[in-house]
Amino acid sequence: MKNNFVSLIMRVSLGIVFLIFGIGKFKNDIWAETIRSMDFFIRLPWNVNISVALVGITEILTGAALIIGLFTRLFAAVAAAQLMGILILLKFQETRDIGLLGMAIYMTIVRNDFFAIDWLWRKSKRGAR
Amino acid sequence: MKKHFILIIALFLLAFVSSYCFAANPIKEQNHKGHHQQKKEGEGLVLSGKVENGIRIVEVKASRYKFEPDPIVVRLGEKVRLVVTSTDVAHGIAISEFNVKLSVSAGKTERIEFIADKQGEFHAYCSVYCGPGHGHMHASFIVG
Repeated sequence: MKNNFVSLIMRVSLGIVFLIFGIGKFKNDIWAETIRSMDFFIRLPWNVNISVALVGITEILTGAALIIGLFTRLFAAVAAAQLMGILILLKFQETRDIGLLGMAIYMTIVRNDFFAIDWLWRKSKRGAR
Repeated sequence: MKKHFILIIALFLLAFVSSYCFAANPIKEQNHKGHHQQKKEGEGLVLSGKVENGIRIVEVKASRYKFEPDPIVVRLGEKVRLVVTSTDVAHGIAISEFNVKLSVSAGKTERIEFIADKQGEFHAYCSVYCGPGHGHMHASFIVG
């Protein structure tokens, strides 16, 4: 039971982080501007504003999915991939993201559907309850 | 189980309320720390820089992770020239409402001119990743 609560708190809090930062991209925050100034995104063959929107949409989807617990492990893996990308692009200076990456990896590996939408299609659901 | 249910509902509410608050008011939040008192006085604000040939020239020093002066105060309708010097690593300054976007390499000085044609308090921030505190490198830009 304790594990369930810890997993729930972890899932929702990582979701909040992604949701806030995703919304920020569309409010043209400091990070949206940072993306526009980064060589990596400037070199991509499409406009940087498209990159900003793509990053924002991915973050919002990831955040929302984690908060409600929809395809938790898939989106935790997506979150881990994004955090890896951020860490590499920012040369591991943004150390807080290492902690978030740890959370995302944990949630990718350990299944927990406590108060998650995922619970609806758990195979053993009918047998267990 | 009922207790748990209430706890979880509360958690979810907290999640949504906090994400809304943080996303909606990033500027308000920052102001609590800094120049709260100055803002209250309103008229007590000191104009930044000096006027030369009808242009308000403001020298801004950018360093990890702040701008000086903060706030930057100008008059409505003035032509403003920001002369931004970076004293350590590469920085930038951006004010979305005035289409201001300037990158400054480490130790260099760059300038940008624009007209302060909107009244209010705006959000100036670093636009080039400069280290772990980059996300909090802000200043107020006040047009009064």
